[in-house]
Amino acid sequence: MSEEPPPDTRTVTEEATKHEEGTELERTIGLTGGLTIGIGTMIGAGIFVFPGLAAGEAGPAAMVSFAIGAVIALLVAVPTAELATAMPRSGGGYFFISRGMGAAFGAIVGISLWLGLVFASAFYLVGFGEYAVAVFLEMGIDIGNRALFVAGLGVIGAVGLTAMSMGGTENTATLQNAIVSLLLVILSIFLLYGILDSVGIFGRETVPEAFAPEGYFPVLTTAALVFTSYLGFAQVATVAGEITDPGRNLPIAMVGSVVIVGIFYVLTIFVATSALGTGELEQAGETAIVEVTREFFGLPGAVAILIAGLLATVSSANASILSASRALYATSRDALVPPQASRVNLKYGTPHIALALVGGPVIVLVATGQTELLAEVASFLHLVMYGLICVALLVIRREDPDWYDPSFVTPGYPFVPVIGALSSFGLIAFMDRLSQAIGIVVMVGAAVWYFYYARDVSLRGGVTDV
Amino acid sequence: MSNAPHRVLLPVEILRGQMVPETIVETFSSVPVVLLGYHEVPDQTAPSQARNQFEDKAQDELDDLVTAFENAGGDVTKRLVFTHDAMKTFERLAVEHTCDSVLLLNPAPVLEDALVPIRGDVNVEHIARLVGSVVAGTDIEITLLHVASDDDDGRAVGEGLLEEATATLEETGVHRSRVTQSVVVDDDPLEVILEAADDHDLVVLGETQPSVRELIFGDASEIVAEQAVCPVLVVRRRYLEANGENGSNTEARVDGQ
Repeated sequence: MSEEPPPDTRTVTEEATKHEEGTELERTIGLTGGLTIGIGTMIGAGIFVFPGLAAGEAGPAAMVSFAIGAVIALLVAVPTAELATAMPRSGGGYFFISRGMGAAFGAIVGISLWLGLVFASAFYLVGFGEYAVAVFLEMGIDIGNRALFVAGLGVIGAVGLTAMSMGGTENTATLQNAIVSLLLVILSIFLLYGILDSVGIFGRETVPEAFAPEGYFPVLTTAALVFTSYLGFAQVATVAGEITDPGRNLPIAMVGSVVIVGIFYVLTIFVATSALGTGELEQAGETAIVEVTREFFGLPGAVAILIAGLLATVSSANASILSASRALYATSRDALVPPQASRVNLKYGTPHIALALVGGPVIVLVATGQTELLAEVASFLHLVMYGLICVALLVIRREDPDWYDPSFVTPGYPFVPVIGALSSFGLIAFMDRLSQAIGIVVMVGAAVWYFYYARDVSLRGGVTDV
Repeated sequence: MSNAPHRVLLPVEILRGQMVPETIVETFSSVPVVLLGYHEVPDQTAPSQARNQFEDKAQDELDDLVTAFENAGGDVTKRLVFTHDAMKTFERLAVEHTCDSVLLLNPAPVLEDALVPIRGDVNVEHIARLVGSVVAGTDIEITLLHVASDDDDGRAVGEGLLEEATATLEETGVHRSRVTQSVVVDDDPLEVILEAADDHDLVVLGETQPSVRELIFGDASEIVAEQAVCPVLVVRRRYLEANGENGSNTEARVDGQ
C-alpha cells in the first residue's frame, strides 16, 4: 500500500516539502508558472473555439454568458485557493474532497476528474482539428469530408501529445510559458484594435442588432456550454504540491487566471459580435475568431490567429492530459485505484500507464468530433467537483481539525462557498439532456467502481478519520 | 576574511548509477560535505509520485555513500531531493548550508594533481584557502593557471595573482614545492583551461559573472564542467567578489521570489 503519512509529518516550506524521513520534494513552479497553467488550460477554449458557437446561440448577450461563467468560477476559485493553501498537495479538487468528505466522495470525484479532463482534452483536440482544417482551407487545399478531417487531425494530435508526454523528458513547462506569453500578446493586439474599432474610432459601422435576439434563457444554456472555458484554475490545484510559496502563489494564480481569461473572453465576444454579427459568426463555427481577425487585419491577421489557435488548443489539451495523469496519481496514492496506474517509468521518468489511461480514451472521444457534447460533459464533471469543493470547505471549517491552517482565508465566508456550490450545481441544469445523461453515467460508474474495488479504503489525514 | 569552514555541496544523481569515486571520498573528507542525492523528474510526473516509488532505494543508495564518507573520517550531511529542476535544488541547498562550492562529479580513477585557473577579477584569497582546505592531508599537486590577454601588463598582473595565491596556499599548509605557476597568453581562456584540464585530475574554478557572451553561450564554468572529463569544483559566485564579504546576501537566491 502506498499511502502517505498524515500531513503533520510533513513540513511545507516556500521552496520544498520535507518529509520526516528526510526526503524532500522541490517546489519548482513559481507564480508565473502557476498563472501559465491556469491561463494556458483555459484560453484555448474560450477564445479559439466558443465565440462562434456562443454568439450563434445567445447573440451579443453571449458576453453575459461568459461573465456568468467567470463569476461562478471565481466563487469556486476562492474556496479552492483556501483549501489549496492548507493542503498544497498533488491532486487538487480530489484531495480536498476526499479529506473533507471521505473516501466515497473522493473516489467518485477523483475518477470523475480524470474522465472530466479526458473529455476536456478531447474537446480541445477537436478544436485543434478545426484549426488544422482551416489551415488547409486557407492554403487552398480542397478537402472532401470536413468532419472526417477534423476528427482525423484531432486524433493525430491526441496520439502525438500522448506519445510526447510518455517519452519526453524535455522541459515542457518552459515551452508552455512561451506559448502562453505569445498568445496573450497576439490577443491583446487583436482586442485593443477590435475595441477601438467597435467604439467607432476607426469610423467603421458596427453591425447593429438586438443584444439578446433569442431572449435570456439561451444566455444561461450558453453559460453552461462555455463553462469549459473556466476549467483551468482547478488544474493549478492539481500541481499545488509543486508550487513555490504556496500560501501566496496558489491563491493569486487561481483567482488571477480566472480574472484574466474572463476579461479576455468578454472582450472577445464584444469585439466579435460588433465586427461580424451573430449570423456570420455562427456560420464560421469553431474558427469564427479567424474571420473576425480577417475583418480587421486581412490575410496576415487570419494567419496569425490560425497559428495562435493551433498553439492554444494544443497547449490546453496538453495541460489537461498532464492534469488528468496527476488526478489518477492522487487516487492511486490513496489506493482508490490500483497502484500500477501511477507507476513511474524509471527510464523516462514518466507515469506511462497513467498517461496511456488518459491518452487512450481521449483518442476515442476525439474521433467523435462532437465539440459541444464533449465540452458539456467536461463541464458537468468539473461542476460537480466544484460544488463539492465548496461543500468540503464548509465541512472542514465546521470540523476545524488541528491540521487545518490555511494561509489564505475565503472572504465572505460562508456566503461565497454556499453560493459557489449552489451556482455550480445550478448551472448543470441548463445543459443539454444528453450531456447530463453521459455525466451521470460516468459518476454512477465511478460509484460502482468505489463499491466494487475501494469500499474498505480509509484515508489518512482527513477530517473523516478523526 | 571570515574563518568559517569551507563547505562543499556534492550533488549525486541517485538512482541513475552515478558513482562517487573513492579518490573523491578520500580527498574531500578534509572539508564538511553536504551530500545531495537528487532525482530529476520530468514535468509530466509529480515529484511525490517518484518519491513514493523510489524513496527507499534512493535512501539506501545515499546511506551507502554517507557511510563511505564517514569511514574516511569526513563530516557529512545528507539531503535527498526529488525535483523538476536540479539547478534550482543545488542553488537552494547551497544557500541553505552556506556551501561556498559545488563539486560536479566525473570519473576520477586517480587524484594526484589539481588545476586551479585564476581570473583577474575574483577573490584569489578565497579560492586559495578553499583549495588549501581540500588538499590538506593529501599529496595533491596544484597547478595555478592564469590566461593573460597580452604579453606585457597582462603577464605581469597574472604573475602577481598567482604569487598571491601561492602565498595563501602556503599559509594553509601547502608547501610551495607542490605548486606550479603558469601564465599563458592567449585570446581564448576557455580553450586553454579545457586543454589544461585534460592533463589534470580535478579542476577548481570560480563561477563567472554572466557577461553578455556567457548569457548567449553559457556560463564558462558550466562549459568547463560539461566538457571536462575530471571532477570540477565550482566556487560559487557570491564568495568570489573581489572585496566580497563571506556570506553577503546579494544573489542569495537566483530563482527566489
